[in-house]
Amino acid sequence: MWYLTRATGIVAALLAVATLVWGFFFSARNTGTRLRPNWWLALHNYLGGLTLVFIGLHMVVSFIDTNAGLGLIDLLIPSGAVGWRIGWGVLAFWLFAIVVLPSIGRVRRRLPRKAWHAVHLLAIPAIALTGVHAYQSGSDTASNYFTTGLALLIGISVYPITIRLLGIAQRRLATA
Amino acid sequence: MKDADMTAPIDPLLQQRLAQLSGRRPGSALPPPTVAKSAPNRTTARTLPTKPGRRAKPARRAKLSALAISATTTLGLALAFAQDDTQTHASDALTLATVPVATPATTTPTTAPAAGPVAANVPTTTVVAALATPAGVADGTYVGATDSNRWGPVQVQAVYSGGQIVDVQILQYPTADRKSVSINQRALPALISEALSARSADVNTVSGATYTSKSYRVSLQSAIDAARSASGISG
Repeated sequence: MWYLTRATGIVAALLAVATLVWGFFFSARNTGTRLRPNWWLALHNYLGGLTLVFIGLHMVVSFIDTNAGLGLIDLLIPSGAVGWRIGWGVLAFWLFAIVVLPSIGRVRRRLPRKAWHAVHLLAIPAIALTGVHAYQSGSDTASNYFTTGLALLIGISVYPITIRLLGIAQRRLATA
Repeated sequence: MKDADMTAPIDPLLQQRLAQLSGRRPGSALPPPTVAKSAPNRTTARTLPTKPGRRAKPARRAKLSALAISATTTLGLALAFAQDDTQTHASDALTLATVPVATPATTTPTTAPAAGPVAANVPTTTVVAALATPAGVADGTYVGATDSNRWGPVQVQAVYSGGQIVDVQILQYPTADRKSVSINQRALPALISEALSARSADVNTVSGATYTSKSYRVSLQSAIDAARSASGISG
């Protein structure tokens, strides 16, 4: 169970980063012409849902694993009761849920665009908290694989964010 | 004949259009206001036959691939972790068997078990049923080597009585912070219990206590080796 807990956690983190990257490339209109925008958007939405599914699996396996010593409350309420290393992960889960669930429930269309955008940007702190959770509670933090993987993920995440921010800056300069 | 050929219905759309046109012939009344109603039907009829399912589910193949990759990666990682853990067990045992331990285990022959300084807060396990160990091990308490990991040192001692392990006690464990104390208070009893069940130091890693589990295995194996060595058992 412990191996499965670690595996689902790592895959959930990878999916979260992939969703973020997809979303930023899409919003920066940097997706090329080969594939239609709705292809990118559909895959972005799907990856977001899959991230939440794997986070759910990660939590369920942690709950089933009696050695982990985590109760339902520990897994649903972020607190320092079992240490903040777990609490950061719970907080990240709720942030992901806030971002993803409205998309599934079609709440997005009823939300004003600005409100939706603000909610959507919660994915960034959620991924940052995921990284903190992985680093603090992970058994693999001392391994070279983990360090290299974390550095790669940070790089992969920062690149599209930079492209997006540069695009916004360019537009603002052009309109000024 | 020609007129009949031209009005022959080719498909439902054409038939519908012809019906509308026939309504506009001179002398006939204007078509009833069903044009607005029929327009959406025409649109629906045109869009439906083109590549069904293609637009409704974009990136379907990519989605399936993402799901398959995620599931495969999860299983692969879980297997890799399990294999890595097994290899660590094997390499620990090999190292201890072939190379003398840097901190030699001390032997304290005694008739009364559990005489060592047991670390506070860690419950020790009292063995109800004595375990079978290699015959001929002298009674006593055998202290294992200290194995340090990133969170702190772990050291255990094995108590032998009647040639059998009757207890495993924790001498040192990471106590630098509350988190370590909490983790180890949960993990160490499980490790002790598992070692007694497994009749060796070959215990599984406890969730959330990977480093302590590894150090526990090293220290316990060293204590068992010390007991065998002190009793003149080789191999």
